[in-house]
Amino acid sequence: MKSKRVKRIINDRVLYLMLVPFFVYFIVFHYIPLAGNVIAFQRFTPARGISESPWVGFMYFQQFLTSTYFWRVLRNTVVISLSTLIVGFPAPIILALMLNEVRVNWYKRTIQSITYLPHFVSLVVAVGLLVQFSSMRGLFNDIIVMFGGQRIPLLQQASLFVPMYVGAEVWQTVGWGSIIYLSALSTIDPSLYEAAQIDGANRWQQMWAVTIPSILPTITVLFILRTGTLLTVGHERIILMYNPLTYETADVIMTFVYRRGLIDLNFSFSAAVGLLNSVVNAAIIFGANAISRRVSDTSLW
Amino acid sequence: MKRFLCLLALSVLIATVVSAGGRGETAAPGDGTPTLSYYRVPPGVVATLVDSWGDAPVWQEYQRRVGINVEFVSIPQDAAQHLSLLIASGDYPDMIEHFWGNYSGGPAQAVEDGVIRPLNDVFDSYAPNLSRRIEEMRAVDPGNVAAMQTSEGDFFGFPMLRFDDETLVFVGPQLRADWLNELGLDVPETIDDWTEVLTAMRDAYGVAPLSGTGPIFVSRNIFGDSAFASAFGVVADWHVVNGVIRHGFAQPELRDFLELANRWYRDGLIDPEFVTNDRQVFENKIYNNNVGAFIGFTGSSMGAYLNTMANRNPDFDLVGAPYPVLRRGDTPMFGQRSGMVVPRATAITTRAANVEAAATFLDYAYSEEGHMLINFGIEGLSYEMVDGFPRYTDLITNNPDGWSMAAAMGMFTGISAGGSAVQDGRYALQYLLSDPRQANAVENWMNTNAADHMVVGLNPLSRDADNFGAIWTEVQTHAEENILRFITGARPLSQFDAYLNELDRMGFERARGYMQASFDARR
Repeated sequence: MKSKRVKRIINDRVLYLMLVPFFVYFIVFHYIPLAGNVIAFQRFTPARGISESPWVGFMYFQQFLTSTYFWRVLRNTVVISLSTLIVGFPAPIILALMLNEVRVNWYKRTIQSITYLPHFVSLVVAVGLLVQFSSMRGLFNDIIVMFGGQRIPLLQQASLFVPMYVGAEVWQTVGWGSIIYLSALSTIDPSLYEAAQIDGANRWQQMWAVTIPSILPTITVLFILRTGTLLTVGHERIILMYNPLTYETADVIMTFVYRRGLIDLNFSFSAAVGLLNSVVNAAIIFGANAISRRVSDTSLW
Repeated sequence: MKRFLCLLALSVLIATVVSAGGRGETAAPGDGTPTLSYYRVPPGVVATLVDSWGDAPVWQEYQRRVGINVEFVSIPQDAAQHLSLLIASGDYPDMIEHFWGNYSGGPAQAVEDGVIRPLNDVFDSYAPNLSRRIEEMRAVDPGNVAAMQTSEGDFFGFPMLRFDDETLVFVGPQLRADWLNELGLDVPETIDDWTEVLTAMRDAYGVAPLSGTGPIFVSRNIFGDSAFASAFGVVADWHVVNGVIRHGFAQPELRDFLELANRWYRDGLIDPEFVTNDRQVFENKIYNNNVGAFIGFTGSSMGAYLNTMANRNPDFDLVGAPYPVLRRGDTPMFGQRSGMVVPRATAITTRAANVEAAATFLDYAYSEEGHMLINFGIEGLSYEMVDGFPRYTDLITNNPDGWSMAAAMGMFTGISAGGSAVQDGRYALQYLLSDPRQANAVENWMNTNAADHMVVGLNPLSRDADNFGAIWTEVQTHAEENILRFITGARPLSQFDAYLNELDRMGFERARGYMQASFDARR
């Protein structure tokens, strides 16, 4: 038995060798840094290092949980994350389904290229465009005036932050995100469609009865993975977009951590909040996985 | 987050190592002179001319004279953030020039954190020139010496010093003089004058005339240096009134200022984008005649704009207005006035292996010869002595390569961006105040009581630093955010008392107490 396994490994040694870089990558960049979380329980300064910094227990956790801003950043994180999920998760699925129905090949390819393109635009440039469009003399205000509205500084409106954030996020990710669904769609057995046609199903009914059930496992897995990042929103985009006037709706856990950690140089506080965040994220993903396993056959593990 | 931090730290580390490696090779190998690394932010224009400030003629000469080689760390645009990341990496250059008061917890905390080393013994042993300057400062006002020290009494860096009045005042309200002329209005003195002028500008030119940059009302935006707030007795920084330390964030009179600002904002007198304007956007507005008034520098605002616009719009003209007051004839309580000691100093870090070399290098700038080199460059090249007055040559004022004066100053002198040295009044007279409009503006701005109220380099005692830091980061965020909301009307002023209560609950009074204790300990 054992020699058989060894023999198999030797036979497939090239495949195993290809695994090594990824193994090393995860150890070096994802497991070793985990140990750095101990600074959450210290009053850490880089000059002293982990070994010399004094221990403070749960002080920084307490500081965060009792902070005036705790509820606000938590609320904003959940709101922004859920909005992105509700709008951003179905968007690539819908795009993929629509592209799947297009029969003219050059048209389909053109649309695909156009929707992928924003993915390759750097975040800074993408937000730069958004800032230009949103300025007082920018495109968006021109459109507002065209419809009889007043020019307003759009990026300074707390109430507009979430829609603008979600819109920008979807614009940049929808095309790229649809690729995985398109590949799932291409694996559907054409005989299923033939059978449905013989049963008299029209295009719409074929989609509901054949297409969607066939890609449902893909959707479920991606959804579970997505829930694991519920408390992690795209803070880089937010940092580029927000200002004190929109903190009310834009300041999320990660941006708060960024300001305290890297601007105010309070590394331990940031580490404590980051750790807390990860624990909650992990709990959510375990929960979602358990629910999915119970109600459907699809789960991550 | 951890991973994010690590990656950032790592990339900075790599960048530092790579750049350090590249530069290390330029030092002549094996000549026995030590090589030190130096973090010092050059004037912005210099970055377009040389890779590193160390390649500029002034620093080449400086290194040659002192016999110590220095690698200047090259610095991206966002210097503050870059420095944060550098400190996060734990791998510092030997010397860092910085506003150490901005270090979370103040310079005392930077010493306590083991980032920089206290320099009392170093000054005694290796810095005779600076030590002499310190005694001169003490003779003028003993408070000056306290400003060079941590709250524990340690010297923390090689300071920037100013003895001459012309170098102390360099920021203030500026208006379009040509617009005032066309409208037949005088330079405004009172808040009511300002309302009248701004309204007239709005009506005549169809712009929201008062503009500025940046989200924070204490920094260089339209409320910079409390220009308008101080008319109401509010100063957006720690200051002293009759021995009591105060901060404008939590003063009841703040409401009066906010009412004015909110009215101006509603009436379209303030640029609605002042929160999100960055420098480039703001300057484009200036150049496109969208701005009628702003708070700015003598050199890098007034001088630069006048220069740029000379070709584009010959009518463009600026005038410096006095800091506004409520009643004509009053003296403004506050306005920009630098202390004689600028809380910006080169510290020697704990990573420096050769402290003596670092101190010797830095001390030279305070000697007679070093002083002339830093302020005026090389005699016969960038300046000539004319009747005992060091006059800049054409190389600086009318550069043959077509460099602006700011660029030439940045290459041939080490003073125009400030820094560890004594800033000479004769430099200011020729550079900042060469235009009579600039000299006139500074004269207007000098007339304030700021000197009575300012406290330079006040930081909490190190035993309080942690508690103060935890309170103050929250108070500051809350105040800055809400002051902007009050101004733009996002929060109605009827909630002003609620705002004061919120600051109270966050521990404002305790934070103030820590500052008071530090101030009392100083005396």
